[in-house]
Amino acid sequence: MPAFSEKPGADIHTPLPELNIQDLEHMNDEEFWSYASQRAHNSPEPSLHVEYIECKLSNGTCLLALSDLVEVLSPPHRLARLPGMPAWMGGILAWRGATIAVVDLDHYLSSITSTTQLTQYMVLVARSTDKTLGLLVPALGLTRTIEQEQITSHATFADPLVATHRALIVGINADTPILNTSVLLTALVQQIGTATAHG
Amino acid sequence: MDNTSFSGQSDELSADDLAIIQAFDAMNDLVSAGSLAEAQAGQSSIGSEMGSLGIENPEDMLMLFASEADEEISLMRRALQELEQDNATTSPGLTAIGRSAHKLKGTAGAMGCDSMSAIALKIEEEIQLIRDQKVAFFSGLLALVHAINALESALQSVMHDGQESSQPLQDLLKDLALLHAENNQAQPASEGSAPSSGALPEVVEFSPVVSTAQPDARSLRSLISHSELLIELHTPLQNAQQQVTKSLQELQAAHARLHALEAALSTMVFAGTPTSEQNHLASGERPASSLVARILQETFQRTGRAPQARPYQVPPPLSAPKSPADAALWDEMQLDRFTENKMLLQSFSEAVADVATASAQLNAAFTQFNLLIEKQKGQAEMVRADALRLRSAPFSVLIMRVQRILQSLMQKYKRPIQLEAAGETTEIDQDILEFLAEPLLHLVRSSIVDSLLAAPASSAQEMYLVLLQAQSIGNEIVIEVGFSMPIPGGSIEALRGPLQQVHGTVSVRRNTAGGASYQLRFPRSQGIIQGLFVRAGGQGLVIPLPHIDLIDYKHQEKYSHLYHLAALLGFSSSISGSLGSPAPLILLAGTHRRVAVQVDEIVGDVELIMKPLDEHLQRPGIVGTAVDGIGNVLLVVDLPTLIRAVIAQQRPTAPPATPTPVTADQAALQQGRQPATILVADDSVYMRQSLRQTFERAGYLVREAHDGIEALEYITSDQALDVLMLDIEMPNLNGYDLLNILHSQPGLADCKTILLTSRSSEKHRLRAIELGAYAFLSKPCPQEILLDTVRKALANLPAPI
Repeated sequence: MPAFSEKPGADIHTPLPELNIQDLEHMNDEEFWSYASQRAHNSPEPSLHVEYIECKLSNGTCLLALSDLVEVLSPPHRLARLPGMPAWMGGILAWRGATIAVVDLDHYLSSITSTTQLTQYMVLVARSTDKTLGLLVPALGLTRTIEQEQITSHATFADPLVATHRALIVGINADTPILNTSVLLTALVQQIGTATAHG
Repeated sequence: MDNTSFSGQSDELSADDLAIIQAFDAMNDLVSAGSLAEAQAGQSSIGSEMGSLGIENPEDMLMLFASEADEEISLMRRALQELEQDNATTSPGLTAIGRSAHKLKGTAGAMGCDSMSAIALKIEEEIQLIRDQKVAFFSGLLALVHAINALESALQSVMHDGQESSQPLQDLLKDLALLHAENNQAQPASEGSAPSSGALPEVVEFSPVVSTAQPDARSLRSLISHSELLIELHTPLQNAQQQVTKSLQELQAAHARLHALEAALSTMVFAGTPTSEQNHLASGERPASSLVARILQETFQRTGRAPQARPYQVPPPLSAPKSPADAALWDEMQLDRFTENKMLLQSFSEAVADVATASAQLNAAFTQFNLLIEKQKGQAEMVRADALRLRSAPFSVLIMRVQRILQSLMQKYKRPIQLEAAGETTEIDQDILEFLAEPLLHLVRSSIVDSLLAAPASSAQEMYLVLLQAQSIGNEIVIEVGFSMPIPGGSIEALRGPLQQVHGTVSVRRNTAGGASYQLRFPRSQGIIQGLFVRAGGQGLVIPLPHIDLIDYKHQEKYSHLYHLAALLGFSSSISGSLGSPAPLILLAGTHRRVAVQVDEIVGDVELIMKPLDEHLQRPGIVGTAVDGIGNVLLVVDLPTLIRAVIAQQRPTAPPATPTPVTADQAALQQGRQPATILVADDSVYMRQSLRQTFERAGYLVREAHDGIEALEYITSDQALDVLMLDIEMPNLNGYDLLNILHSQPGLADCKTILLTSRSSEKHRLRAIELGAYAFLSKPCPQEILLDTVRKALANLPAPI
């Protein structure tokens, strides 16, 4: 009989032997339950793939990790202006009892002032550690599940967006830059904080 | 007492230290189970224990005890605040209160203050009950509040009468009896968790009576009662809502029927069928029974199709038939002789009536719903008022602490000091009161001590008057602290920080006693903001009501400065007013000069919950945000701070391209007006005279002020003023205080101030810059530099500071 019987204090993360059908048939109910519990509790292999969502910008597309997004808000949004906010900041928004800054991602990354009303955009509420911001994007594309090995270096990638914002990019997948949400939010918060009152 | 135990330390310790140690040593022996009974028996004599212990100089010891007890009570209050916030029996606040109570129990016992000692013992017992969860946490908290108040009252009697009153202890026992009785009622007997009778043996001696000294218990009962009524409103509201929904559905159904019939009628009319009553009656259509009519009507409603129009026929005569064939058709009784059109019209009339009925029902249901909503709103406001009352404390709490300070100072300095207090019953939020208490007490203590030290010996018997009053004005609390004698400067700086944190303001003025008074204004409660909802630059904004003096829609008020709110915020404005009327002006409160701020539109009063902004979103003059009923973010604007920030930003910093020195006369001639006026504020007669001569020789007009208040009075009097030459060390308001006021007030912030002082350190210079001084000169200052600095200030050239 394989040593799968549960013992008090046994490490549930110990690799379990693969049993054939005969072994399983020979188990009594208690043994079977114990084995099933151990298998259920065994931590799965860490996943190497991450889900991203395509953000359609005026002059291209970028990817954001879905795990960094808390909520997607559909228009209309009620944005209020804040004195001295940077040109790329759409305003502030009441979200779940807090007031968050909303940034026009298109304007920030490409310096293109949108002709579309910002209230027509989607707002992606992104969070990283203690920072929560809204990112205005013109449209969302598909989600992509990307393996680690499918992400290539952006060091030599010839793209104006990547060239300007190398620090914000973690890599490239199928010619699409992947944004580092944590770095992006930190940069945005810092720049909003240092913007002059009338600047 | 074993005196030998201190022999090794006596060389290093002062007499006071030794006395304290002796008192502490004695305390454990003095607090006994019998002390409570003794305390209740009446007033106890203070000093007998000290005498028995052989302590010399009992007056000093009493002062020492009072000071220490006051400190412990303050500590307990702070810990109580922490306990309220933690809302848990594991709170460190509970431990801190217990520690202070234990210490006070011993020292009070050693002093012969048996009531205080017994009260402290009750605090320890209450803490144990809370820890053992034998009383509800909130009841225990209330008991502690009562007990600490009782301690404070007892200490007050000691300080005031020289004898301890047992009344606070007796009142406390009554309060506790009532509280525990309520607690017992609230806890079912089956739980078996009621406090044991052994824990509170004395409580049973008092019947639960409503004491006048029980605002907390009353507020709690009121809160519970109002909350229950609020909850009870839920079901009627639900019913009313369902009734509205039902009436609405009925109205929709009636409307649908009407709509279907309207279609049928339209078809009939457009098909050319006569519809007049006469035609109906006269038409030769086949008579229809009411059953047929109903079937037709239902068909119309179901299909929405009108019946085929029938060809017009000559109406049959209403007289008797002339032929046998006619006779067969003629109905003598005229029964059911209705045409389809007649039926259709009848149905239409009924449908219209149905709509009217359903509308009336909906209206009635909606009225009832609105009535209940109003009732609910009123009830919610009562709950809020109760909650605020629970959070509030009377101003007398602060008055008592001030009294204790004054008594100790009187004894120490042998000077008569009188306190004129008013507004004892004004209820103030405990958090705010506690927050402001320390700076206020510090102001009182330091002002009096400094004044007494500076006063000439000849004025030793002159009465020193301290004014302390509070009043509630609308949703604001105004506290005024005044002194009859000149007070040292620096107080404004100490008060401004705490005041700003509670969204309040501080101003200073000369009082009727000849000294200075500080007026502190702040909102009644924090979190909820009552303000004016305005629009500027297309943005919704809230201006706190305490910042507003009045609203001027017709531009009838005079003002010295006008700002546009949208411009202050850096927003583009669409100011034009509505239909040719000017955009409204808001005149600011608490400013020495009239300052007006123009907004695009005033929407109305609002009461909203304000939240602070995250650090990266913070901007000068924006104190937080609120959200209106439809999810819009509204910025809450602190107008004085915003204006100050904008003025500071607009100050010239770049050097001029071609500085052209001009004399005062030349400048005046160029501008076509009187020579420039300089106000010299200095308490030294010599300095004032010296500066007067210098400036008058250069062609300027000179005015003088011998202290900060006089300078402030001149500045706010709208008399001509171009440059203020300011000393730092002055009575009543020092140079920094005055600068602080000028800097904080929009109408005064543009006043060019040159500090001329003997304090030349970098620290003072930096402080002056921070407060917006134009220049900082050290005494003695060469005449050329003095005049050059004034010339530059007048020419609005960059600050040479």
